[in-house]
Amino acid sequence: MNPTLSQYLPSGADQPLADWSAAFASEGQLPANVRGDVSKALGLARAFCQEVVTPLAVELDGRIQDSPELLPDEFIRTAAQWRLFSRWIPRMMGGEGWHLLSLYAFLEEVSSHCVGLANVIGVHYLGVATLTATWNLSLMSRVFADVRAGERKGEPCLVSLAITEPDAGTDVEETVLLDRATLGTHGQREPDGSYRLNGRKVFISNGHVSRWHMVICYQDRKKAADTMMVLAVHKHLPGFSLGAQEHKMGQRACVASELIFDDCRVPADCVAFDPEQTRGFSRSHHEIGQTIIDYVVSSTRAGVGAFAAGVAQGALRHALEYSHNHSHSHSGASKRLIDRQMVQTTLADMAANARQARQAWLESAFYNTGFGLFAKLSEPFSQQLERMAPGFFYRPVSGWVMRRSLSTNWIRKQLLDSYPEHCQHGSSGLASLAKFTCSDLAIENADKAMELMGADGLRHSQGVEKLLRDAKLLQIYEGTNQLNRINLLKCLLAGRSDAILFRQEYSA
Amino acid sequence: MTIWPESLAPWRNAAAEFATTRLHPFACGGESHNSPEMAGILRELADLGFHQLCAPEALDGLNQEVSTLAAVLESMAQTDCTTASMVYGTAAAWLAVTAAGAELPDTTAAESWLAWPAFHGVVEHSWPGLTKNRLTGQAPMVLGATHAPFAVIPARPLGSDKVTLALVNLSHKSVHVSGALRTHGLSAAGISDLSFKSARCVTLGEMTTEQYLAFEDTLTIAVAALYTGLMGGSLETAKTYATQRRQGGGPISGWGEVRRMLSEATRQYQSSVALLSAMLTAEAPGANCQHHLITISEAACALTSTGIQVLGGNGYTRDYGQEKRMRDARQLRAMPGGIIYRKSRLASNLYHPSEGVLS
Repeated sequence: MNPTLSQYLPSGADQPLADWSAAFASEGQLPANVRGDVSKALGLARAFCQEVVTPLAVELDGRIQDSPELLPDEFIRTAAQWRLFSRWIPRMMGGEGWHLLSLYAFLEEVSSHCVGLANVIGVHYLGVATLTATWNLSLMSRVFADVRAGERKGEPCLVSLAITEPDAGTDVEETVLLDRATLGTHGQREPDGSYRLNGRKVFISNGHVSRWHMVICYQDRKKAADTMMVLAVHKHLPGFSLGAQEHKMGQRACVASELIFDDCRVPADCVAFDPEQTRGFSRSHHEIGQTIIDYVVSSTRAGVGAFAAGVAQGALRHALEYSHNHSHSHSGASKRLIDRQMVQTTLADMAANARQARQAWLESAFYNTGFGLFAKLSEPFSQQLERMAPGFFYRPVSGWVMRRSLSTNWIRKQLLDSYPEHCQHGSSGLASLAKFTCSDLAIENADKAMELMGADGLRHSQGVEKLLRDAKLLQIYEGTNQLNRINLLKCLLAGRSDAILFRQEYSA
Repeated sequence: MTIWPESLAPWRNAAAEFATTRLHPFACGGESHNSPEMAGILRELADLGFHQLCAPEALDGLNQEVSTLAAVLESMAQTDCTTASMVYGTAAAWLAVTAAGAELPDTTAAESWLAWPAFHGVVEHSWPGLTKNRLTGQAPMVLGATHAPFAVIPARPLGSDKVTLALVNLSHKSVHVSGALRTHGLSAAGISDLSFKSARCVTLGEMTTEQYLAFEDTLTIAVAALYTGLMGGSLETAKTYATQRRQGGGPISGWGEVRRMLSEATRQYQSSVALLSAMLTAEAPGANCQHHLITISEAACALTSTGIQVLGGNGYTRDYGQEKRMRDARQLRAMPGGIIYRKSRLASNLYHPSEGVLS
């Protein structure tokens, strides 16, 4: 067999071109406004960093080191004033409708100054992406309206995703492993369609500062993949409480929380996705669940890639500045670091790493735009409608349409039941590639910058050691880099071969 | 694999016992230099004599060589590298005094912990100037400066290119000790910047730059031992966790990729131990020790990162000590002196070994 990327692209796509570059092949699918949105997002990010992120990043990190329970409330309020929690939500759902590809550019730029603060914003869109991936239009409309209203009132409304459990992490992100995972959280369906939720979730980014939690859980823990659900849990719901905050090595600005569900009754209208909702579909609930997970991780792993590219860029910036301003001295004579070839070639390698990282997440994000989660939102018709229709007319009409269950059913038939497997594999595989490639390059650059700066690089006040601490988490969350490597093989290389994946090779 | 002669077993056992009984609870959460726990540990270490491990016998020291120091540091660093680094700092100061052939007149200092500028090499930094037993200038990132009453500082006498060791009382008003710096690793080791404004000091003999560089080469053995201890601790924690943590229906030690990571880490650890063995048995430390230490430091940085990765999210929290080990490994990379400085020095030495300095 000769596996090629092109087998995962739609049949109309230019096959040789796609094998050469999925980003290039997807370029034709891009709506016209993307370039403008990316440019706006970069400008916004630079202004936001200059005014908010750069002055705060190291100082806040230090404060949280001293007081680990401290939450970034002030930053979140400021970010809401900049409307950063709704800009990338479609206009029809109350947001500003900036193209999602521009979100990655924004996050990369902010991450080059502070991954933790970038993650406070990025993780909100992880929650948004999860709800969007269920295509429950009615619930999307309600939650996203809450987000927009929160910004207007100065009471920010963030959305989180809760998937990791105390005894299950990597295995809950892959349905092949899911049925073998040690799961603790489960929901019991009540006659009125609500669910009684029990269990705990851990390492939930933004848990303590979010208003809505998209909780992935199961009706039957022995048949988890067949009974997977997404429940929207409001923070004031009885039976829901917040537990401990993790004391992390880095990304301290983005709290990692424990969520506790103790007979928490989730109303029927907050059930984003459950087995009842896939009755009558041609694909099994298991397959559709995997599609939802793939939709989410395909967009968010590319986002982790963007975070990592930001770290790589930030490390280069630190190293370059330091090399110009510092010398090694001996017997009164000194030589600037930048004038040493050893340093020059190190800086060149770092620049190459930063560029490579950006190309890796761009490839994944382009594919998502053409054939993944963003594809429907990127179609010329919906983009034109989003851009051109007057809000006073458009929002009430679209709101009415979205509240109809018929609308949700129709779009789910299109995007969940009929989503081509090759697109699912393509977007998931490229996202994994972006995630592990970029995060490994981020670590490499942060390490090089620290090495180059010697003892000065070890000082917290310099900011570069924080980049390394922050970057380490990028190799762990959204599926460890090890899982992502195997997922790449599964999605892009294994093809129709009979390779055995996700199997224990050794007895304990 | 053991590389230690039987004669060092009592030292290793004493250090290991102290680490197991006293340091283990401290190792995961100990980030504060002024915690009562840290003060208690330093007191107990002093009671056991670890702060005088390399002090001369004439001053009631234990007069041990760098090999004994290395044996102690390795045992201790498996559990907690911060405490081990405190022992290293004081011992390095004593070894410097011995290398300079000096006699210490102040017996108060002989009984104390000593602060030592562990993170800058002798040709990397412009050390304080020395005029008539008065120091003026800066000594950055001095290890143990918030704990120790005295520091030993390399200084440059006016009009000389030699290095003079100066003993400074840190409580003197002409000495400014910054608060404990927030650093990447060894956070509780009380690392501070010192500045001197015509500060009175006691000179402890002098060395040429070449002699001082040879002394730095000797220190590489102790730093290498800190590394191998740290690596051993990270590897053992990862191996144990892999047998306990279940993913996908079984312990993660059953996964081929986890086995590969642990196997790679074991190779890095064993190679580093072998290099340390070569350093211990070398006739004179020399440039080879610098080569070996750079290789060990690269292995340690990789291994401690893997040590977190095997534990996943748990490794990223303070709870298992793995994230601290990764940070401590990077902190050690600047001992003795930054890695670019040391690599440059080795490059300078390549064709002209006698130069030993940056060109």
